[in-house]
Amino acid sequence: MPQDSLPWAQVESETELTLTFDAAVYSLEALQRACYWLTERCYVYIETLPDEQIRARLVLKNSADSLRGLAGEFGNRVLDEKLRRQINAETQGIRDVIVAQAFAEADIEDSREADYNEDPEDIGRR
Amino acid sequence: MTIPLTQLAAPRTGPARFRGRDAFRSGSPYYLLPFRFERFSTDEVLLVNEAGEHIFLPADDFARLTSHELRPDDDAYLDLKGKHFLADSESLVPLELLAVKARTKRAHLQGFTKLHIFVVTLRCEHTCQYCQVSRVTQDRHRFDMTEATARKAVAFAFRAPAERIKIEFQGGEPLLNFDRIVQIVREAKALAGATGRQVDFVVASNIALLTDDMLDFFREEGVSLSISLDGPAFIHNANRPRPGGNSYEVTVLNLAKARTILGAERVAALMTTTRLSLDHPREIVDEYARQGFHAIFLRSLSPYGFALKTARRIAYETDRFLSFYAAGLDRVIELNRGGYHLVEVYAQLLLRRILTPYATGYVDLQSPAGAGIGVAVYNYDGDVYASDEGRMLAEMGDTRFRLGNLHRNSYAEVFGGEWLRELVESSCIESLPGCSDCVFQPWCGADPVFNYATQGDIVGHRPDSDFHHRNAFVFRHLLERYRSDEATRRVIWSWVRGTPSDELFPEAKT
Repeated sequence: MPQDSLPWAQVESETELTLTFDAAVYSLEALQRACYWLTERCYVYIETLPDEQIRARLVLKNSADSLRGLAGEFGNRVLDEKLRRQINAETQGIRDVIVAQAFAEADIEDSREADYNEDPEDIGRR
Repeated sequence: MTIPLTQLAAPRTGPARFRGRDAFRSGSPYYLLPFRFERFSTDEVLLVNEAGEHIFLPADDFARLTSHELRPDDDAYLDLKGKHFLADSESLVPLELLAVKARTKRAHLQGFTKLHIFVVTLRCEHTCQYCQVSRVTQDRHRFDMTEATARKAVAFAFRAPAERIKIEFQGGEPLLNFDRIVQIVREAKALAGATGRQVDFVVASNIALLTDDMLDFFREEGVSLSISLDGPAFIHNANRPRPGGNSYEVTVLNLAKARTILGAERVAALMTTTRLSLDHPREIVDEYARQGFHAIFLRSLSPYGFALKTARRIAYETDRFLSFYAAGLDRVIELNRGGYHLVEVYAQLLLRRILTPYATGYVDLQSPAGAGIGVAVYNYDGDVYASDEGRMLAEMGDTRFRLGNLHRNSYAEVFGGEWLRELVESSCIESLPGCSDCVFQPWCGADPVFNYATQGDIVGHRPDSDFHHRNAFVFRHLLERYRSDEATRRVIWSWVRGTPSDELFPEAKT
């Protein structure tokens, strides 16, 4: 790996890699989600550092796997997970409205049983 | 209902209530509507929205979309707007339309349990190696469903509120307890008549013991047959040993008889995939066509017969299966293009989810999972299971998925118990780790029984889940095939619409 290493990855041994991220750029949640998908191939440890940094330590389960490929894939995964958090934050309000509307049927059916003149929901008294 | 953007609530999560000025930089600001994405290749991204609609975007356009730099005169803009991936200041957000679509996609959840499987006997005259339940050939009274148990099971099935229920007879070999089938059909029809509901019947059988009297009964009562056909003789007979070694020959003989008496449309076939099958996808597909079937289900290997496999072994089997599936699907498409109408059932199911707004209930791939709420299994001894696979686990000594017993528990205890609630809660893929952000989520489902059998817990671990790898591969493969060429698209639409493809390829007919 030394020949073609990635600048954000520090090789600790033949099977261990440390990656450090700026917490102002990458959220802890994005890092955790990216790590989840690597748990098939790695043992993962995440820690926050005092200087606004987050460190992920990855140890390959199978020493035949490529550390460089892992470092590259992990970097891209973290970016996509960060983007997913951003899209989720932007659209959560609309998603909630859609889901609430989609599952409002039960309430609608309850209301259909009653005559609006009886005002079963006390709407006229609010 | 269409809601002006100005009336929409601000996003409830995230660090800021207002978007930064970058969001308005283009002069034509737009909102993103909820969607999930995955990089489909190095230069293309797949987006799927809450209603299950999808679009492919060049990676550059995707980057510009999410950084709010796309312009109304960009090619992708109108497509994204039309398919509800973005809404701009001039548009009204058709939230009700999206909500109706999201609800329609889940319509299969209405009516609670619709499929009721009756295991009328464990006995079978076949001794298939992969089958955990068919070794019992003696002690008839111990392994047959009794009249009293059958009556209780029918009563349970009709406690479900579904307008239309389906009763499926399984075994063992259900024809070995034919009297019980007759009783259940008659009592279910009486109850259906009394409660104003519809009931359909299907017998899952190897048909070796099928007689004319049985067929006459099935014809009179409208009972369908789902027969076992694993491929040509060398595969079928190897998979399904019976005295005489002639399972295939008997099947073909009785198939002709069944079609004559019931009509071809009432006889379907189901295959079991074994390691032997994996080397012969083309031969298996061709056998289905040779026998005149117009549907084939290239089913994955069941983990239940190979319970002691290691995780690595399962992964190896999955890779082999996926090669088998892709080759089998190629052959099916090839036959269609040659003018023979043949549907691959799993592809049809998933493509209907991908390409249409309609609900497609399938108890093995839905959210929440179908276990217990889409399907219930009444075992010969009165035990009730959440799924057929749960029952198979029990035959291997693990009764984790037993919901109760017909003679000892009430309907409310069986179907309203904490365990079934936990099963449902743990199989909503909208909130499962690894599934919640998955681009295929609106088309996919969960299988807690499979998770438990292969990984030891019902939630499962997606990164090394055989279920996840298999379905992610199939979704991706089907999208690739759909986009590959016009002729394949015509075949796929014939499956989605249910139109015979021989009408779409008249030039191939001779």
